[in-house]
Amino acid sequence: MQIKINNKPYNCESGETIFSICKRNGIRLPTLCAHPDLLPSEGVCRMCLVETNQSKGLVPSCVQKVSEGLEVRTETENVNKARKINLELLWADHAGKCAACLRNGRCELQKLAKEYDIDGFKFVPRRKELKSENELDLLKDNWSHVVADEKNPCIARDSQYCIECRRCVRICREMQTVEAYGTNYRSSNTNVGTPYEIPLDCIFCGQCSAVCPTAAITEKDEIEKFEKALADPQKMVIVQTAPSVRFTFLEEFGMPPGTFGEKKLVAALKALGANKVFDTILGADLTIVEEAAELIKRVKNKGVLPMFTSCCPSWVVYVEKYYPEFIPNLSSCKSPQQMMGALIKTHYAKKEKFDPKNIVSVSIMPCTSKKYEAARSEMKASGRQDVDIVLTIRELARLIRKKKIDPIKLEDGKFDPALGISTGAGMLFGSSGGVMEAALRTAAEKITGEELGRVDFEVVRGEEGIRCAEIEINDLKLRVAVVHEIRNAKKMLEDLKSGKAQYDFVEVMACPNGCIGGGGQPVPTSPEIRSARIKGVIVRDKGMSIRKSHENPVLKKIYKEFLGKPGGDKAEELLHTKYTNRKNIS
Amino acid sequence: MEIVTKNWEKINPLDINTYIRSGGYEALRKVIRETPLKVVSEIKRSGLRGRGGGGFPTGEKWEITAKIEADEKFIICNLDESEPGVYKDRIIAEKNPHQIIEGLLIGAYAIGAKRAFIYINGHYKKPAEILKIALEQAREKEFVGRGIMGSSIDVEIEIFSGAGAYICGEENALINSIEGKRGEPRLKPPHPPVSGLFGKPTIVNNAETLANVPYIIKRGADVYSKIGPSLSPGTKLFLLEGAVKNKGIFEVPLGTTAEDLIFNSLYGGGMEDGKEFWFAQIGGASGRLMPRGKLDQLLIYGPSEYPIGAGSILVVDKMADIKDLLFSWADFFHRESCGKCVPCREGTYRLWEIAKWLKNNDLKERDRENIEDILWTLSNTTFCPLGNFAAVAWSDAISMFSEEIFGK
Amino acid sequence: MSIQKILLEFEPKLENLLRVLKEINKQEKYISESDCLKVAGYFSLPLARVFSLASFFDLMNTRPVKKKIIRVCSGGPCTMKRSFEIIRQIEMLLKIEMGNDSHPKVKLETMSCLGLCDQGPVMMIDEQVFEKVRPETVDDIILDYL
Repeated sequence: MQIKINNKPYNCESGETIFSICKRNGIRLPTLCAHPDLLPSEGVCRMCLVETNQSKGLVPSCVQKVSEGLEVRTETENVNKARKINLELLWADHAGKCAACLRNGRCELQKLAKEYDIDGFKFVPRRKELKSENELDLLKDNWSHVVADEKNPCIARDSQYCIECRRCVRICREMQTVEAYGTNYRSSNTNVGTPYEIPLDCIFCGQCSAVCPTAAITEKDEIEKFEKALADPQKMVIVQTAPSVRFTFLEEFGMPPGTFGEKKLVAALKALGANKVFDTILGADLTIVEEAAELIKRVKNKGVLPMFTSCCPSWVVYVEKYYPEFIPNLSSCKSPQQMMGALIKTHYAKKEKFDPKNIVSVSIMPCTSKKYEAARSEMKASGRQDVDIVLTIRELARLIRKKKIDPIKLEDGKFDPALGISTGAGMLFGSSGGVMEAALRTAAEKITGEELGRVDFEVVRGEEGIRCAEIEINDLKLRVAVVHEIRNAKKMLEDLKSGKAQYDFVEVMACPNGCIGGGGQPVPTSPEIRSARIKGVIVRDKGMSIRKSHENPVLKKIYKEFLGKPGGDKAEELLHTKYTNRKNIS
Repeated sequence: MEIVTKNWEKINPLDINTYIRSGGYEALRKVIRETPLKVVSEIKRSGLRGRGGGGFPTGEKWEITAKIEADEKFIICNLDESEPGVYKDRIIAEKNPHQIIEGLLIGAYAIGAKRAFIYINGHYKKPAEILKIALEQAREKEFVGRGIMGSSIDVEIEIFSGAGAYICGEENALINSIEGKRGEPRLKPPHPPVSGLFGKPTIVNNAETLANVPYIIKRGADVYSKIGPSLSPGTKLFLLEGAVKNKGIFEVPLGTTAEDLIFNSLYGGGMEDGKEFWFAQIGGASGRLMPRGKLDQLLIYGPSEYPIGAGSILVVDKMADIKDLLFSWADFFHRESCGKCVPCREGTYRLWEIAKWLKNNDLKERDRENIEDILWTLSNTTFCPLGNFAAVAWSDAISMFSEEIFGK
Repeated sequence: MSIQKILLEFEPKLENLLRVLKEINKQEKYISESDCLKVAGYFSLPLARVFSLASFFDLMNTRPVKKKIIRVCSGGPCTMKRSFEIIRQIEMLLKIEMGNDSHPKVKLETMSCLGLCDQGPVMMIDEQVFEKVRPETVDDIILDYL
């Protein structure tokens, strides 16, 4: 049907909301609670109100469905008055705080406040910051209490910035089924947070920090630790960069999503003062070689199947907490980050004659969960934590901006070759299906003993939540599945339990579309943005000269010189790990 | 004119036989011999409107649900009644619980519901006890449960006690709280008669509305529709409070004027000694302020300059402290806002903050300037009508009594 | 009665969730984290969901109430019967400010209509309801009770 928006006709289908049609056609509509990953919208922020010819009052465009003869106006006096007053009401607790805020310049509320030129001091602040936990009892004069939670290893919360948009509640409940947040209390005391104000107890995926419009929920900021290490002349700062961050890094500096920014990323890290910059993709290749060997062993010896990938720490924690009976199914392989971390402080340190005590191992990740993974007690192959600091790409971008470096203007940088050669297979790790495809490339050649004619396994690519396929390798029929988002992982586990599905090998990523949709990636995010990022990954893989993990020359050298063979004793010691039943324990 | 309060002096709420002797459950007996749609049509023809405040035609609402084919339907008696100045449903439950139960049973049969709830205010402990005993006695007599009065009709009634939240008087918030959710309003459409409790067609009727049903069935829609104005027939329990001589509940035909109710010696009996009439708030805390010159307005449901809401009439005299009243209104809506949408959560807080300063004679010019914006956003941008309600009395007060409030 | 026993009186259906929480609050005077966890487990719901529900309503506390709470109705009818004078009287008597939480033993608040307008002004001290309170008599009531 056709409707009119601001006097121009637009085509649409019945069942669509006014908001979605405006977005599609580039008509500006502000929002603070709607999000492309959280449909249908609820209409709580009231920013998207518009005037229509079919209703006396203002209508929320994010929930109002179109109808025949509808005429919408998005910029009338009343519409703008509504936006202004509601923003002023919200801004009361934010006025004057931007300069010191983590999200200065990248905050959805700040953007709207600037755009609508609101009076910052129309209302006095009403959220009072508590000084201690004992003060939770003292709600002086009905002031809304504020909770600052620093106890989660990956996510920091400060509810004085919360505007109760409820995106975090929804994404944790709907996408990840964990529901660590709730909307609590009533009236002006309404606060989005954890039950009984306990420290956030979750799987650390960070999706909440990716959808939060303000600084209420952010990644745990470790920039200071990094700066301190860089400034310490005694320390050798060795940085590794995840596969997916090179496709999102330049979004923080104005480039379109999916832009291949590896060279600028490395250059920026060198400009900051990193001593060595290595490529986590080498770790990814190691992961593939070890995991393919493990899979083949399990298939041959009738071991525990299906085998699950274990490079996503949120997925691992989810299994440990909610489905510990599936722990034996998890691959014993560490993640690429941890394999690299282990190698850096053992093999590399020894080779270069560095004292591992003086190495500060840093990783740049798309992921808040990796902060937790790096601190796990099992990740100490070198005798101390193998990875010391994990920075999300958002933190790194913040630091780069703080130092007034413009990465786009820098000369291209290159990974240090010692641990810096990458393959197309490892590059694919960034998107959902990538680990599976990389593993299949290696497993197929190892099983058949022959070279693969065509290395692409398009059947495991895509954007649906659960994708299954049967891969024929010689007379082996490998039933594989690729899953992203925990709600789909939960369904997959329940199907396995009930016998509705049978698999041999499953890749699971907690974040939408895999690491390119990670909780630590640049915001905003949306299915379109992630789609563009995935395209970048696929294109880059196609253009690389080496596209199979086991052909990585540095990897081959490491096995020859140090590790021996995949799954061997040395590999077991450094590159494999154990899991713990964490059911009912926070 | 007595419909709801009829025979109250003869009825012992704890003895069902006194109700039966007064003609109780005859309507139910009549109804189960008719088809459900005939019952619906009778209520429709009677012109009965919701007595909780909305004034929506009851029969039309019942018809929507009656005509839907569904594996399960519900009917809920709304006895949450948390509007300040309104306690009529409590009195009905305490004096004649069976009239509500009978109305509820008839409604359940008419729409095809096998399960009914009585959602009662969490503070109403005594009325809840009385209802519980009444239900037990009704069950013993086979008026409730499986095989009502020997027929093949099953209707189960449960009491559901609220937990203290005014917003749960709104039908969607009420339904949400039964489902174990926060009492927040839902997006409409879909409306409860189509999709309500657990997604099934649900009718929510005020207790007083249901208390009218047995009379309509017994005496017929034609008789009922002729009481009061044709677009808003029947009687209404009005509650007189404030500076009026005779305070309490008065059942009068709709169409009576506020002048009559307040000053007629049969009812309010005029102002308390030495007090001069200033204005009357019609409807509850969300009611408009009716000045002397408008007292001749007919009190009816349907489109009206002064919506009667649940029927509370607060008479205010010239010696009353308007600032205390302004604080009373702002305090109530601030406390009862559910907190879901920005304008109401923040707006009711800011209005309360201003009311506090005003009461303490501490209101700054800049904050006074904010009042208009706050009232505007509450009236125009909220998720549910509670925001509108919060702004009504203040808007009237400021436009009519600005001098008394702000001085100068 | 132990929490387990209360839970077993209800089937784990959603329409019983609010009922169970009210029962627990009636007995324990508040719903503790461990009790809330038990309820969440019984209904197979996340803790955050149950707490979100419990913290919404007036008749349920999620923290132990450590003070005496005096509530005076601030509804229209009670206001017209001088409930604000009663509030001012209490403020003077106990030297506290309405709404302020700084006194260690007692707190004075306004409350919403209980539907007892015909018996107003209405005041509550903890769970005890007082009707027809007057500014002249409120001092005695408070001193008797505290």
